Amino acid sequence: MGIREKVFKNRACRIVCWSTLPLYLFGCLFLLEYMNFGTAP
Amino acid sequence: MWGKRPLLLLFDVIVILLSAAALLLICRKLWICSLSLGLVVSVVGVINCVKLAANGDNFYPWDLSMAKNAGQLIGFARFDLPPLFFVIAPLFLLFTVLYALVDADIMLKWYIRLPGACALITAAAVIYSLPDVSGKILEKFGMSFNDNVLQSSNYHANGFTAAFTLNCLATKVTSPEGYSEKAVTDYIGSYLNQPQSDFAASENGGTAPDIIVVLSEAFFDVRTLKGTTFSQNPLENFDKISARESAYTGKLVTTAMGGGTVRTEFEILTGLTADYLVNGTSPYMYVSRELETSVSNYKAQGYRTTGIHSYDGSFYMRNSAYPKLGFDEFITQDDMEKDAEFRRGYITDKTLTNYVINTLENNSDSPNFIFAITMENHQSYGKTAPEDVVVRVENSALDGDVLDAVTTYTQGVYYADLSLGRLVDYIDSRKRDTALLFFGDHLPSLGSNRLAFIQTGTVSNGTSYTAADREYLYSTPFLFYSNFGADFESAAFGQKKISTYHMMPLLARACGTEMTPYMRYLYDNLAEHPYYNVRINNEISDEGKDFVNSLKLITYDRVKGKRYSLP
Repeated sequence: MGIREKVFKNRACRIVCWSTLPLYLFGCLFLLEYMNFGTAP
Repeated sequence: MWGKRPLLLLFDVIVILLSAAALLLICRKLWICSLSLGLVVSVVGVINCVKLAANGDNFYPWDLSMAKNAGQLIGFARFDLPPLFFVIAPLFLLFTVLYALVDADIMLKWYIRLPGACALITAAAVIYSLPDVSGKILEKFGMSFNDNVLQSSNYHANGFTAAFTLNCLATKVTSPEGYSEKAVTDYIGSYLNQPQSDFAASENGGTAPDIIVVLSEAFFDVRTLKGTTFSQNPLENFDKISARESAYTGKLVTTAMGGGTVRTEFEILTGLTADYLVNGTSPYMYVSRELETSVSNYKAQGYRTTGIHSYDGSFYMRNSAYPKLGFDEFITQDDMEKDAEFRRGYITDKTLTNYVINTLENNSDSPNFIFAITMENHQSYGKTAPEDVVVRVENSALDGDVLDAVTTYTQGVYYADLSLGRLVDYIDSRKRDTALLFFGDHLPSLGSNRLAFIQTGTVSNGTSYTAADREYLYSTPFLFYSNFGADFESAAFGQKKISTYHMMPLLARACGTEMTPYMRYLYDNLAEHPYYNVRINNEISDEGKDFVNSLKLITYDRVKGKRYSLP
């Protein structure tokens, strides 16, 4: 089993990934509005 | 923005969630979804930011059709990007690498994922294709198609995500039932096949008169408010000029009330109808290519064509549309401010008239077509200080704040009337043949929800307008005048109520200037079908309905269709 499989391909990491998705999407929204206003929306 | 308008945040979240869900269902892998979304968001954010810095405009959906010019814009990018971009964009990449290493995906079979994605896309397409539905959805989140009449405030008030989505929804113009090359040419084909010489000038000995068209903001005969008295006649000049033999007046039937100047303006200039475009949008957002208009017609005849507006040139997207309508020059508030007079925060009609006169004087080597849009009497109509009241207004039926609105509005009418008198005096003083069309674009909404009209009993309560009420609310005065004896009455076949789309062919006929085949088509229908629009929904004959259908088809044809109606 390679390092990638050992370190990343496990249930805990998957949970971390999916739990960061809302943050990622909010980051997308934030960036669009930030680039529009030049400041935090 | 989000703190003050949580519904807007909810709307934005729904848009981004649905986009991510559709991507995930298609790609399955989380890292592909995040990479695509991150890239699109970053590129769109950069383009919006750079466009704002370059020319003050935001990124609009229709800019995608000009993607080939993107390189020019990106060239400016490295200097203008705000600093947080260089933090957030790499974070997107970092997250994407993490997602790729973990190889997170949605554990759904393709036969569940793909139909799910299709369902989402279909739902979006259905909402897009039904402007009534999308309009109601926008309302639920505190937005409206009206928001896009001024894009800068749309993007400022609603933010990028909501404003861009709103613009996407507003671009939908559905193909009318029965639209085809045959259907269009059945109406206008015989005109297209006639030799151009058939449309040549004839009535005025072939000379080319200067043409002035003035759209006077919210101009109407305020004296028609029942039971209202005025300390002096606010329309003295209009009355005097109307009484002259060389003048012709009547009612212009419009599709706007209380606002929506651009609808009237678009119909006047193009001869098309805004009835079947998305309600509340600026028709100019559909003008992405050159459009045959009365303006381009005059330009083709050697006229110098000038638009003059004493307000922000980007309002209603005029600045981008006017060159495509055939205007050589567009003079706006920015050009006027150095020597402008202001009243209630707006440039006065007097200043605008100065610019009309100066334009004629400075371009005397060619005939001129001038389209001027006033601003002085624009809403809102608050209370006027007593020392500024020239015409006192009384009506015991009006609530105090509504009477204030009527009083303030009346002062504006008085000043518009003064400017009209001055312009006609100038026309009379000229040696060159000059014709004028002066009209109001819509009635003002005096008091909230037309209260002045209701409280005075001029129209019935808003829930049950009669046909007469609708005709009253959607009609403004028009005045034709010339210094060379143009016979407007004969040209109008004596009609006193005329729709917007008939006005420029009528003017051309009376002045003996050339008409396009479409203008001739409109003109040939003036006597039989002088006015109709969906707002007043007046009764018309079967032939009238056929004519209205032709307007619908030709409008679509020219705005979004294949342009079968062009020569």
